[in-house]
Amino acid sequence: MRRIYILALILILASLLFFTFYDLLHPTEFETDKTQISDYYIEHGVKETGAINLVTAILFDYRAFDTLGEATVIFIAVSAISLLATKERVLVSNTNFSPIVYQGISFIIPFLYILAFYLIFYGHLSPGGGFTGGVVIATTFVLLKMTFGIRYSREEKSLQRRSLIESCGAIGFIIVGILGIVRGDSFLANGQAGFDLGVAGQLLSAGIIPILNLFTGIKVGSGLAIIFHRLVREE
Amino acid sequence: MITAISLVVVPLLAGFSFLFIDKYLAKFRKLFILGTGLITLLLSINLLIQVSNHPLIYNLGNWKEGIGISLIIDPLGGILAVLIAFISFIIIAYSLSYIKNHQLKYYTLLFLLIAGMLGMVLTGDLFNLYVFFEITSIISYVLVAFNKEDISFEASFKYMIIGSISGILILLAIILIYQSTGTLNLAQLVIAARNIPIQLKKVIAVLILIGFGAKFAVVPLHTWLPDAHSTAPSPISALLSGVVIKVFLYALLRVLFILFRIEELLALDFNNLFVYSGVITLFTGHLLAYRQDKLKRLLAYSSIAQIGYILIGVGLFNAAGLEGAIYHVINHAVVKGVLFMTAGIFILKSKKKNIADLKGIAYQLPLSSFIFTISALNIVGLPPFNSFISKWLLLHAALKADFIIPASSILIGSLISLSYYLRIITLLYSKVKEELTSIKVPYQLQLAPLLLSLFYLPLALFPNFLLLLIKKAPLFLLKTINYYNILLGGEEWIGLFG
Repeated sequence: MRRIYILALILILASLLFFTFYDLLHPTEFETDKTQISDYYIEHGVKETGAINLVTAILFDYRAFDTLGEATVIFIAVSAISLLATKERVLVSNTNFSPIVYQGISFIIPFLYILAFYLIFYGHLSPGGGFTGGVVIATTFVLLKMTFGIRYSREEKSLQRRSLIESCGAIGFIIVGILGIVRGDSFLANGQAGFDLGVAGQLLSAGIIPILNLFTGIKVGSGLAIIFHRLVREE
Repeated sequence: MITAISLVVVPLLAGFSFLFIDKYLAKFRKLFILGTGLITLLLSINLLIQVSNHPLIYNLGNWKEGIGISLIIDPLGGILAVLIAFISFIIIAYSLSYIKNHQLKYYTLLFLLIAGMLGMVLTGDLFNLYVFFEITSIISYVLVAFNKEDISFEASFKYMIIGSISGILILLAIILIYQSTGTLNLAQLVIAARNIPIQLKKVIAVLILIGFGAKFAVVPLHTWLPDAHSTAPSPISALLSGVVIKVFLYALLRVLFILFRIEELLALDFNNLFVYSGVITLFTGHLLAYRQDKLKRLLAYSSIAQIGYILIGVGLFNAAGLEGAIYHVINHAVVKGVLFMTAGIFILKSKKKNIADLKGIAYQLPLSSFIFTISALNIVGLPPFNSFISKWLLLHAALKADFIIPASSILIGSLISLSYYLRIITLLYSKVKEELTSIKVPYQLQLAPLLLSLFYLPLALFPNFLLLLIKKAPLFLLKTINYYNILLGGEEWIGLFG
């Protein structure tokens, strides 16, 4: 009976929302003044930031301060899980996999690293960036842990090292931002602070964007690895 | 100019680098913690002095307004920044002798929480506001569970569920605003929001009212607050009750007044909605506080009631009501901070949470009990104290706007609160036969509440000094065209000199 009530409540609320958004479902022609910012980004993005990937241009240049906030949220999540998750940790799995798995994983790990750093360093040129690359880095930790068990990474010490790396990433992001102030402009300034934007499309271009990508990647990668570390428990 | 951004960056950097200080420079840890708090406080005071005459705008990355993110700081933002930095500094000083376990994580999160709150009051960008909103919220959930007891996990989980839903509603509102105006810059929204159809505006208003309302515990959405604020460690309770909920209220007011002109709000009867939900919040808070037997829970319900007072002042939508409300925000932050900190001392001493177990504790902790008594009488609103002044201002404003019932409920509410605070005070000072406990409380713990309670004196004796500053706040909050003019670098504010 309770479920029916809940279902009815959900349906009522959903229909309310639906009728409110009904007009928005088939938007009439977008008026030009409502897309002025996206038009601006499309028109001037490459020239002003040096990044071909406009998403990265917005994430790490136009609205880099928001990205700093998002990175902080991940940092907080990592701190929270390290603080609150239980301390007793045991082997992830005692089951031995077949040699194919061990060999396969060992074989794939270097390539994963290459993929991760490719995503990070080419973030301003092709789809990818710090967050994606960081997740791939974290995947390697997870894979190693799943197959070879906890004995492969020396627990507490490596965790501490990873927290230090994570902090380094976060501090690096802010220091790059402060460099903008030091060079006589404002926080997280890129082209305006005289950083060389280079030729759009080349690897070394777009000023601080690749550096910010790298720091974000380091931070996200080590952060997610810590989260996995803290949460694993034997079933 | 640079103070504006460094006010966010300094605590953020301190939070990130605290791990290194803790690991490699452990000797300077205390100095680092206090120093960061002090620097933040000095920066915020510097900022307030700047913006009290010339509100400023800081474009991050030096992009044009609207293209990038801007910080827009008006007098209200400056006042709240100083309040946040000041209360946080006292809380940091108190935590140094209160928090014994997990210091590393505690201070990391505390610094980030300060950065998040400062970001919320300084930012001039709607989505950036949401980012800092999330930072502040998530750290609040974590710090509520800091004691790692079952009860605090439950409180934290409850807080998180309600908080996440409210976050989603706010995100939905931001999406709707951006879709219908094409800008996220708060100052530009003042003009752009005029083109939003009124039907859509109402939906957005409902979303942000519920979203932010759940965060500052307006009554039907208040259920998480007593659990969260009473199970958190005492310094965190002081911070959550004192400033965090006020910051969410600020965010609501900022967005609401930018979206709607005052005439529209009055036409939609929003003043009645605010004032009467304030009345309901006030009575619910006070009546439930009356029935509590745990000290911190009582204080938490009292916080809900004070939000009611503030809502009554805000809901009048005129300068007088807002001035009273802002003054009450400041008073409540200071007084409730002291109350929670002294309650923390009592609980540390007696190891018990019930009010009945605190019988006769005043003979062992004379100073703390004295501070508690003064603060309790203060928050009730008895005449010589500073809360009386703000409550008087609220009462006066409500009467002038012909809200008789809300005005009288301010008086009745204060009477109820007098009755339950007197119950605690008489218990504190009643004689008991044997000593309660032999647990020693470090005397440094009493320094922070003592220092904070010394500020009752200037707040009560020289209200005009502060009111002079506060009087500038409604100019930018209510007459949003002034807020828009900050963009243009205007110096002539409408209504400032007339």
